[in-house]
Amino acid sequence: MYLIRKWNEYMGPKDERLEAEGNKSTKAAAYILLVGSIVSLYYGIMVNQVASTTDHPILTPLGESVLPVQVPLTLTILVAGVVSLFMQMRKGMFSSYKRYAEVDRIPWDYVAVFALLMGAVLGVLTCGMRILAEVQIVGVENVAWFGDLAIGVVFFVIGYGLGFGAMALTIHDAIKRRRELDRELLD
Amino acid sequence: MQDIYYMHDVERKVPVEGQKNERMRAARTACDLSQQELADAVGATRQTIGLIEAGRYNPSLKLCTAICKTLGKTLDDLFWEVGE
Repeated sequence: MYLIRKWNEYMGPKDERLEAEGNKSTKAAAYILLVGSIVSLYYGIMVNQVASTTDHPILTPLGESVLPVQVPLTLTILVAGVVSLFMQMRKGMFSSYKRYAEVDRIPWDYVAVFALLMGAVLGVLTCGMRILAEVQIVGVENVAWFGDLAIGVVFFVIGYGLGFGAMALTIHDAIKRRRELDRELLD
Repeated sequence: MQDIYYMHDVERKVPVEGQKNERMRAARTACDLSQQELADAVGATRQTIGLIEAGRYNPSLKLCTAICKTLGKTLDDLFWEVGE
């Protein structure tokens, strides 16, 4: 609670219009995720059902040619993320906090913190999920701790780089769009 | 019965989207405030103030109240439509 309060104090007030726009894009992403997940899940169930009723088990060479359920699911997540980001960029926004909503230059501290968070999430997730999978498949005594940690570090670096580049580009585009709006609304 | 307004009716009354809010612009300039200064005072962005004045954004009652307090006006003065 203390950290959240400090964070809110640091970030300052939120602009209600930008918050509403952000909510709209989040809503669109949520709908895409919901529909895509249901379709993917249903497809997965049908693939398994057909496989179980036709003497063609899914774990055979034939099964390898079947589109895995991860593909539509991954596409769904990608589309939801891109649509949400695009909607926000089109409105010239990347943050509803006034502190960053009105910047004229890319706030590199914000970009760095975002990239750090993205790298950390990707690194911890990769390392953690690998360990979890290994514990179940090869047993806890055979887990390659250092190998998993190394992969986690590599993914942290990848996540940091991607997050940094993507966020900087997003903000750059948002500033450009906001300037267009500014020209329309000259005082 | 016509004098009774529910909260959502009140919110719909302020201001009509697509219609310029010249009263707000006039009150702001009378107070010698720029859009940026008004935005800073009410915790909004300059673009939001510009969009309200241009009639392209319908603000919440909370923001309307903050704008009125800053400009020393009432909701009626700036946002209420009388006989329009």
